[in-house]
Amino acid sequence: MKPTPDARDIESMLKRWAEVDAEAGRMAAERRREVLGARASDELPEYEFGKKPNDWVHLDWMRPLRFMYRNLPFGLRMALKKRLVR
Amino acid sequence: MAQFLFATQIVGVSTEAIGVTAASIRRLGLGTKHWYMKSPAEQTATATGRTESATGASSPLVSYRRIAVGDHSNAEWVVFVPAGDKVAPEALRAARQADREVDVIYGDTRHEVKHADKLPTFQRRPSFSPERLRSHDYIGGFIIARRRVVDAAGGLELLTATDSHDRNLRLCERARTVLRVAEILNFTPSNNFLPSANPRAVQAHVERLGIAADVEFDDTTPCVRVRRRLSNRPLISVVIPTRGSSADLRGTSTPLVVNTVRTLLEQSTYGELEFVVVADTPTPPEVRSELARIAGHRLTIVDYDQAFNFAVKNNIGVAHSRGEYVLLLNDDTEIIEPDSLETMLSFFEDPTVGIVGPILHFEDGTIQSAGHVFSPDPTDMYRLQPADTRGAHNYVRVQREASSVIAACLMTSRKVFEEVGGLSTQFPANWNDVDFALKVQQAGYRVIFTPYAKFFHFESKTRVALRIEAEVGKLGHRWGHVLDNDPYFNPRLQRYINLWRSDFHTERSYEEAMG
Repeated sequence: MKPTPDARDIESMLKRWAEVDAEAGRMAAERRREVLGARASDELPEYEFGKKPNDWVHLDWMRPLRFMYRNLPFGLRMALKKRLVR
Repeated sequence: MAQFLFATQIVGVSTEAIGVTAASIRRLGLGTKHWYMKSPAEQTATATGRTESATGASSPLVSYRRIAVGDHSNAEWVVFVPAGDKVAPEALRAARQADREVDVIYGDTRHEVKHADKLPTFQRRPSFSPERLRSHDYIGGFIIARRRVVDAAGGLELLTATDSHDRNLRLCERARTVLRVAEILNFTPSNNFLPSANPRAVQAHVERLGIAADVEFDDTTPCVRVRRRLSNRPLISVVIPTRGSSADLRGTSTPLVVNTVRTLLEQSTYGELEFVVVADTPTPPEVRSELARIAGHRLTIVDYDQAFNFAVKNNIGVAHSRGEYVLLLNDDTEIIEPDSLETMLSFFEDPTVGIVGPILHFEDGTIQSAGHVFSPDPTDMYRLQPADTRGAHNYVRVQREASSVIAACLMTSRKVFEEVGGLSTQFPANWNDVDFALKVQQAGYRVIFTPYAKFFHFESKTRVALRIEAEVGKLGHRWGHVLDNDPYFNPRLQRYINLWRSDFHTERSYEEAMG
């Protein structure tokens, strides 16, 4: 157990912690730039509904193919779907 | 070129199951002579291409399939594959491409279904989580390890004969690096998604590592609870920032901070406590006097008259405290499990632990926080779910590593707090806890979530944290790379939600999300 600190101790402690925090933040930001490279952005990605990996299914030119797929026999449709799931 | 040896236990296994695995190995372009089989009592694998029973009669089950069985001592990797599973090409590719430091590899599993009208389901696994592996075998039966690690961990014969929890513990103990590959590495016909738990294996594991702990089997989950023994009972400083507000608790208007302190004093079985209450200027005098009455000499009240900054208030509180350990606690909390403080403190017997967080419940028992997951916004997993929620693969019920825990209640050591500079004052309202946990991990410590420490958090269920853009920017600036790839999550799972779901085709994977 450490002794109760006085006001001056507390002030210097808070100042030291702020410096340590700034250094930790600098190291983290450096690491982020290393990892993300050109993709590094200062913002958190926002929620975007349109970025699901199966979005290509909804492209306009896929409409006739989707129609054909929907009208395939059930077993065949499931077999195709199973092949596509990774 | 990496050479592979496949190892399979064949006790009580059908001919068909062995045939399926053999065929999958052949499809990878490897002869099944690279296959070691172990049947502990009645059969012994030989290098002659046949198995022999104890009575000397050849087993038709292997010779029928023309599988040669051998123990290739020059194989670089051993692939432990359960009979009936198929090996995916990604498994061998991952081993071939692994760094020299990587000794053990595991990944995701695809569960095959026989019904034509059902889609396969998946077991998505987090990165290596040693505390979770002690709780249950989230890695499962399929694992790849370097041959020298296999030999050091007890040898091929022992590791093939033993159960997967024991085997995985032994292998991971000896590995320099354990790699999780977020790809399907095996296909299994099994539809059992729940990880098994072997308390005897965990007991032997903690003894091998010299961890002074009691190992208990929690059959309600099922999982194993490792309860480290406290070597001493140091002073814990409970730091509580407050405005002295009152709220309706169980039908009575109560000053929240008074309730927090009183219940901790009355119900906690840990007595070595001091309270540092950082009180805003408007805190009513009657609240201060009531605190002084119930906590007596254990209480320090620090006046705070600056603009609201949660991080600054906590830092000031810690600076005024004297304990070797610090419990950051909101003023609207209440202890549920009397030994919660011992449970949290016991983790600090391991010097690699930096933060421990409990499970928090709303007043009606629903879950408020069971640790954060970065999705990529920091999210409380299973928030608002019923109290008895187990989570995918018992996620909520086991002690495990987490990327971050909520600062409404977390324990840390003074040493760690000072080493990382406390809570960052750049985050006055939100995410100072996330930033703190990430700084602690950057310094080399682990963050642990335990469901055996329980608190109420009387936060409003409908409260939505005010999103301050400046804080979002700062958090992203520091930790964008981690938020984008939470090690205790899986990149194959859908993000931006607080219930896990596979990100492709099927919506059924909430229950199966992560093993």
